[in-house]
Amino acid sequence: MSSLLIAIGSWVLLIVVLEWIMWVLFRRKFAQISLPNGAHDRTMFHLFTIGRMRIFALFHTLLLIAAVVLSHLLLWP
Amino acid sequence: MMMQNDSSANLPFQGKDREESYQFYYHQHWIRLLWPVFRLIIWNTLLISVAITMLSLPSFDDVLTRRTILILLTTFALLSHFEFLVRFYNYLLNVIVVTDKRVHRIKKTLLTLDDHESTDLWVLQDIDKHQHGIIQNIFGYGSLILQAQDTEVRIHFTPRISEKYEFITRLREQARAHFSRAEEPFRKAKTP
Repeated sequence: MSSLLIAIGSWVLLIVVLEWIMWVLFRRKFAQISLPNGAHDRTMFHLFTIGRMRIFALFHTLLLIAAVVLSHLLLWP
Repeated sequence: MMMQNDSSANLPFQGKDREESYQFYYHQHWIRLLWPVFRLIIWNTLLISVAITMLSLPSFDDVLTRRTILILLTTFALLSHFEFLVRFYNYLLNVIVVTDKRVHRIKKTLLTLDDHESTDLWVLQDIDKHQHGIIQNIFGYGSLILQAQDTEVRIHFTPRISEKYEFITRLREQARAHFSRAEEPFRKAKTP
């Protein structure tokens, strides 16, 4: 049981650190070019705001953690 | 597509001149993300298949073998996800911003690239639109080619290209008219 916890904990830590580094790098550059296109915009680009991208990054992190936890609970000997 | 109102026209962005008025921006067509998404799906399907096989076959009962395979599966799954994430972020960091005076092409990556290319609208001699093939015509994207005297800017995967083409052409005419008006006093002063 303890080896399973260590394995899951290590993966979770790795995922959180990588996602955080990538988010910080992305946010720094995206903030300079994130612009609104107004109500007339018929493309999906107005959806890509910093707030929504933060939610996306959070969702992606949680999805990866859930997948790792689930696969380890099922397959860890 | 319409002109931006006064409040959004003054929006600041990287490389914007004080006298420029922001009009619109766009990223490349979503079809650019199709292959990365497919690759992510293929990788995940493969990895899930291997995991299911591992669960069902008795030959994988050895503790060390199971742990090694699980570590490998997790590593490949994370690699495929982070590779997709990098591509998605890079896609969003590649942007074309159009103002009333210039077309700005801003291309960045997370770590290694930070390019900014500006082309004055009034110097453009030709603005060409290219849509080749069934896929480009169905999905309404293509390449915009902005030709000045000694430079050529090719903007590939422009979504809703017909609208963008018309709008940029109109902006060029306005920029030329504005430039001519601004030049008028100098011309008059020079002529005896």
